[in-house]
Amino acid sequence: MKHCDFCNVDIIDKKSNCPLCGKSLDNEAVNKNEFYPQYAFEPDRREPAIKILEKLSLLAVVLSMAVNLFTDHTISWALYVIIGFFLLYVLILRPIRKQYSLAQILTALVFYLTAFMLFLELYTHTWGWGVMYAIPFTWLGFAILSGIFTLARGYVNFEMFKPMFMLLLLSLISFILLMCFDCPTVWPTLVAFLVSATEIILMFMFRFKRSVRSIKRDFGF
Amino acid sequence: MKNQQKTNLSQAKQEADNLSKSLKKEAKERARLAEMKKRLEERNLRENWFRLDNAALIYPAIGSAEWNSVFRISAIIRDKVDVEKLQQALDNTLQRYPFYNVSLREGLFWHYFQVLDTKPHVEIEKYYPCRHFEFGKKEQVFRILYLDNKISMETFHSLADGGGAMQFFNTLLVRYFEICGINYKNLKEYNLNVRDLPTIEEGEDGFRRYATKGKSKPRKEAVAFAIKGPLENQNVLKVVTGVVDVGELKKVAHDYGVTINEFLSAVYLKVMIAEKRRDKKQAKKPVKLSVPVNCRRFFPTKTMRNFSQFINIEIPVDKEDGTFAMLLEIVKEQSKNFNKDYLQQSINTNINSEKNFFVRIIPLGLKDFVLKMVYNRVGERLFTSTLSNLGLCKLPEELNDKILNYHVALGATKLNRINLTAVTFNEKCSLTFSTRLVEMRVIREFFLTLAELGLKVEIFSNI
Repeated sequence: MKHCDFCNVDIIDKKSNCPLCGKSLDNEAVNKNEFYPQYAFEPDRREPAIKILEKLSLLAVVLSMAVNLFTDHTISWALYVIIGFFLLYVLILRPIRKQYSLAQILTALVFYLTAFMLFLELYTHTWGWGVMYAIPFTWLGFAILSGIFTLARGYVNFEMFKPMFMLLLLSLISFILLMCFDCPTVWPTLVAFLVSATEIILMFMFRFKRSVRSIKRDFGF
Repeated sequence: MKNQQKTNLSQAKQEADNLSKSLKKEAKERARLAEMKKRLEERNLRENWFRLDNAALIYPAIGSAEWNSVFRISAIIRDKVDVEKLQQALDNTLQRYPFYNVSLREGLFWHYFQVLDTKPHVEIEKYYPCRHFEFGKKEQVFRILYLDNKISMETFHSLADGGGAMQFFNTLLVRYFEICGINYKNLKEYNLNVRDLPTIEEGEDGFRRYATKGKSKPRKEAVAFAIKGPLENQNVLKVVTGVVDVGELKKVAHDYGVTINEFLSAVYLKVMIAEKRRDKKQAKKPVKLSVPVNCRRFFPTKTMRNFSQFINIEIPVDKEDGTFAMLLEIVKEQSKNFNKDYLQQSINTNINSEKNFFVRIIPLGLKDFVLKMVYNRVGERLFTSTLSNLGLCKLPEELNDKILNYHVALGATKLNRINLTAVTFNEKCSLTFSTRLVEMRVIREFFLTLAELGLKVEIFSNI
């Protein structure tokens, strides 16, 4: 055991230098950690790539805003760029970084695509096509996908229950709102609601206990 | 004569009453435990998930892709680790504590633990201590590592605090040496037997159990001085352990009329005050030391999940130039305030926040974002560093010559780049610093101060 006079401590490791002050202890000693490994450098290839993409996206957003402001004195088309990069982040970069499960990816997709279509409708003043057709058909597609995945994966952990339940609620609220505002076309929303409801009823019929457990777990009861 | 008889009779009656009361109480306790055991068995059959305890909720929120809150408990043993026996010991220990075999998952409103049916494998230690955990996969939130003659357990803080993880780790060690051929005489005394049945109390949320509708503690506190300097790379954590004789340490502390914890706190605060003098920009900020208090001491429970509260010891700016004896006096005085009432208020505050209707209905992503902001504002900025003393590690005496050293390391957090832990085993106290700072000044000054006070310090590190 070596003693560092400068730090007044005994050093158990076979070190050539004191780990506290760096002063030389024994020139002949091999620098070896007694109780720790010699660390291997582990490059993380995923994280740097995500960081570069994030920074490039931010640069693109700032540049497009600057150009748009400079040429048209508004951010009319730059807003599309901002939304596009936002979707890139929440639907691709974040799921990769956080290692989302399939159910989480589907939930995020449903939520953000719905919000995006609503934004497009409002922003382009073309109210109607999204709420009446595009959004309900998207929900319908996701409801069918969720059902297929649940069956295909043998009901593993009931992960798909959360997106299904979300679709059911969204389509029900949407259907009620469309009816209240006397919308001419409500059948796509009704179909989306009925398909989600049927799937959930079937799940309750055949896997009642696991469905109840999923609700408790996913909704924090 | 009659009076005496009457007195004797009344005394006997009182004793009989007391006896029947204590018997009733005992029967009630037995019934409660039986009920709990039954509930646990039922739950194990039905449920495959459980909610995070109150203190655990913050850790998933404040983590990032590169960092999360992890701590490590290590034991250096006399002989080389037998990997197969260690794996067998781990399997047995997980059967004893099934609620440790979980992965962290995201719900719509809260994170939760999913009980896994897969078993973890012991891994060889090849990375820096307290490496972050990757969630989302179906992986446990703790890992058992081995290297030559060292066994370590790294735990994500949401799963357990130091006390809970220590119980698990000690059970693992006891079982490992049992498989290696050691027979224990009084294993019952230590509650470290893998053959015992798991109880629901071991997996309960102590905060929820003891929260009352009484007084809450205000969260407002002054921002503390932060030790700054160049940092090592993200995944690098430098760990330095100083081993001192606990008898000598106790003697020095008692000479000053304080406990070991108060003495170590004062020495660490003294070093941090010296460090603060170098940073004139933060001259007005006080030096504060965060000390976790094991709530199990005040609120009886067998829980192996989080059940600690943090208290901040603060040295007012105008008293920083005082002598070491004055520092000790301040630490001693402030430690007295942190009693059961204080902890009760602290528990109430945290539980009230968790139960708040508006907090509960916010979706998880947004909640995490808000929690992160709140933590940055009223969490880490309120203390300069942490001193976590796990106290005396009690193991069967047959292991005294099998285990050479015990030490604990805390992962460095975002703002507090240096932390100190203490644990005592077999008359040796291990003081472990973990840091991401390039500069080793604080650590050196701390051990130098101990040496100046007459203590012999032996160090080892991963630098």
